[in-house]
Amino acid sequence: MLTADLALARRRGDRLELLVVDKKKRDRLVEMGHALTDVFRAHRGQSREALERSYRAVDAGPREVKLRDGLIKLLLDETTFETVVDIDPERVREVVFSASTRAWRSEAFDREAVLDGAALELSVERAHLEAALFGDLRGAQTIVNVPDLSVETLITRFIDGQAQAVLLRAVQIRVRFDRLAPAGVRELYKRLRFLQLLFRVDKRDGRSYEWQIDGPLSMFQAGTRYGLKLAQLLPTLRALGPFHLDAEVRWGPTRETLSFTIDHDEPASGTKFPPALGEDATRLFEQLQESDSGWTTQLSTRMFHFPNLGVVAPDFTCAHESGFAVHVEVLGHWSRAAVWKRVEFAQSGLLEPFLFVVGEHLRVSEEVLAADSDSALCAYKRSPSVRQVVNKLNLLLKRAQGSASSPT
Amino acid sequence: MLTLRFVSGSIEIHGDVASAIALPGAARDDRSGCLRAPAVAYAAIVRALTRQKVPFVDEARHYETLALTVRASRDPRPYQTEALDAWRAAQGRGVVVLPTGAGKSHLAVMAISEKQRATLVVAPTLDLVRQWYDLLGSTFGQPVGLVGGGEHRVETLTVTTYDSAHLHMDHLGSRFGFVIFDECHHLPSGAYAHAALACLAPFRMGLSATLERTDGRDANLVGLIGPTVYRKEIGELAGEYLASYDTETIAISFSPEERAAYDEARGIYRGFIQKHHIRMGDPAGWGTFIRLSAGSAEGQEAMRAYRRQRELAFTAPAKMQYLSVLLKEHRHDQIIIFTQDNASAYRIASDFLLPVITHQTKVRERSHILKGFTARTYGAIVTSKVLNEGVDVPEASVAIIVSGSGSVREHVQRLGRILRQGEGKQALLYELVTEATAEGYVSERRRDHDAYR
Repeated sequence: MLTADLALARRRGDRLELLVVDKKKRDRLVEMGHALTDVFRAHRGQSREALERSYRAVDAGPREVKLRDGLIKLLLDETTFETVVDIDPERVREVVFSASTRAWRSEAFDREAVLDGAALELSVERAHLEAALFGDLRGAQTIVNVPDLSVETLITRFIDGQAQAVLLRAVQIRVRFDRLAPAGVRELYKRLRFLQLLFRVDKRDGRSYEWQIDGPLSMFQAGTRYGLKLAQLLPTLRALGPFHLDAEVRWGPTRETLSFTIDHDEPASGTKFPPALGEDATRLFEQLQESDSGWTTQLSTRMFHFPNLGVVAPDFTCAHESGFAVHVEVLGHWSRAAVWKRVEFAQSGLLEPFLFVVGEHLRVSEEVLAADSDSALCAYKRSPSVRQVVNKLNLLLKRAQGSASSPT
Repeated sequence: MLTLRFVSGSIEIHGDVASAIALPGAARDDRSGCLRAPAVAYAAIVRALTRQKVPFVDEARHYETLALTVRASRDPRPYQTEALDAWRAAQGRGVVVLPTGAGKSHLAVMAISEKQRATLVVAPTLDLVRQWYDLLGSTFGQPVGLVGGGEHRVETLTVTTYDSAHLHMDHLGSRFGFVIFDECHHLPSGAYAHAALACLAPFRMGLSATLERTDGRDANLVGLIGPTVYRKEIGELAGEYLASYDTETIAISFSPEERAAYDEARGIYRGFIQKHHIRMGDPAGWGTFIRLSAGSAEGQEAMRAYRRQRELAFTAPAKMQYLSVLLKEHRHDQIIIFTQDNASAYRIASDFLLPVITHQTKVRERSHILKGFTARTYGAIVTSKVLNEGVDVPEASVAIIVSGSGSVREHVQRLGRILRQGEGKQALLYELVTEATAEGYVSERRRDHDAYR
């Protein structure tokens, strides 16, 4: 990952903007990319110090230093270094320094004589002894593996990495998705939980929702403590679909507060935005559409956020001809904890009618939701069946109409 | 009924929060539908709820009360007893300032023994972590945990570095009732302060010999640990509890060729910073120089010149010759040689074949070198900055500062390495300063302390 100091950004008023990588810059990136990948390949088997000297010598004009150093950082991230010496350097130092101490104490210190004596004691050539004396220092490490990256890939990573480098200095981000698929919501929620970030979701115009994301202590300290996590979130956001992101960043030596924006409308290179529904949900949705059940189905665009419990994004909504509607979320084999959370939502009485379709192996009984609940669980073995789901929908309809009966 | 939970370095208060009394440090968090406070406020929140008889379930605290017995006890010195009394009177939250060698770690052991809570010790370097690890293990005779330096083992007594504490406190912060910040002047820096905020330990102790920071952030320690509850300076303990000492500054001259090379490099560097109105004395001066020097060929030349003049002053041949004289003169003493940078340390180690400790030296080898120094297998150690703080080398009686920064703290810490009391011990600190260079000014700045008057 690029570091914040390698971002090609400039301040404009109270905003921070990434510099456009125009043709001239791109051409220089290509030239330097070729030079640097050649340098790295040519130094396989040589020392880190030699590599450092060589890549610093790659020509970069005063305004190109960040371009060069950014490419170097990305190449170093994938380079493997190891200490390769014939003799254990620690053992060599122990023998040399003990002999040297004796020589100093006897007022007979002679550097050459101490090294000759140590080489004799360790039965090694004097040159090997000197090479090993500090042979395990960082600069003496040997390059054992260099990255096998094309220049094109390297430059793509450099450009894609710019926004991520800026987000390392972010205090908080606000991300607006105009149409985030339910599967995407769950993916985002999982990633936020993994990164231990907190969020608030607000409905904006039409079908768009805004996620305000920061960390637990952000409400007390407006620092960049969560910048790394926010930067780590960016690849997930890019994989989910088009979005608009506003970030508050602390920039420059004085950590000035600036705003930073990302408008993303293309899938990350080499990937596609995920489909709206998961595999099981797609199958069930299509089967319900084809069935003659008295229920019509429509992909959902709703999202429900319950503070401290999480987010529920139904896959689709089933509407009865009477006007009664049930949101269906196919949880499949996601997680047992997620199912229990939904039971909590339902028990809290805050939801519109919901049907949660879950795999039986998650070991949550359908009966955990009381017979008078507005919502229900539907547990299945291999794949959810239309018949089971329609039965549950009818059950919820009867309950709503005040004529509940036991499931068939 | 309210419920307190520890979540990612904060305290969440769930339940009927709308009717909850005003709780210190807590605020409504709409993201999670609860009240939230930084974990440091835990003790104050519990006290407020208890005082007002509000029932609550405490699911936040995950630390144990211990039954530690001290296996090797020794009588405290009067000032250690006074310090412990002062800390206790401040509800077990506060900073104690004592000179190096005065026994700060023994004071900490007394406090751990008194409070009997799961304890986390946070120290700035791996050498100090290893030292605390050995001390706690031998004093209490039970397994000690270690987090940092490639290890992650948590026990009821655990030692960690500031770096690891900052990284891991979000999930470790509920497991200790007592936290000790050794060399606590490090704590107020932006990132490290999080370690204190995200830990709920009700009992907190800060230890330092050199509390004051040039950026004034030592004032933040009041909120992170507690107020300064006890203080003694070197002058108050020297002779009786610390070794007597002398300091000597040796002026080193350049040869005419070296002088010309120095003046030329210095002229290029100074010309650049004057042209761009960079004030190197300002906290942001160095950062500005780095930024501006990268932006032009002239700046890059200025950066090379800066490095050249520094290298000439740090390792002037006459300095190396005088170092050789001192090594001969003190051949029967135990010597620590300090440098400003690693390159100078390795150059001296290579020229004089002396053991060297820098941040690149692995823990096992550091330990071996320090043991060899104690056993007198080695008579001298070269180091850059890693031995500045806390590391206990009681045998050392001579310190030679070959190069250093203008930091008063660093200089006092380096002096402190040789002050551990020994029978008839007379400590000596030499400072080698290249004449008529920036080193003269730097040397004057760092000696601005009572210890050098």
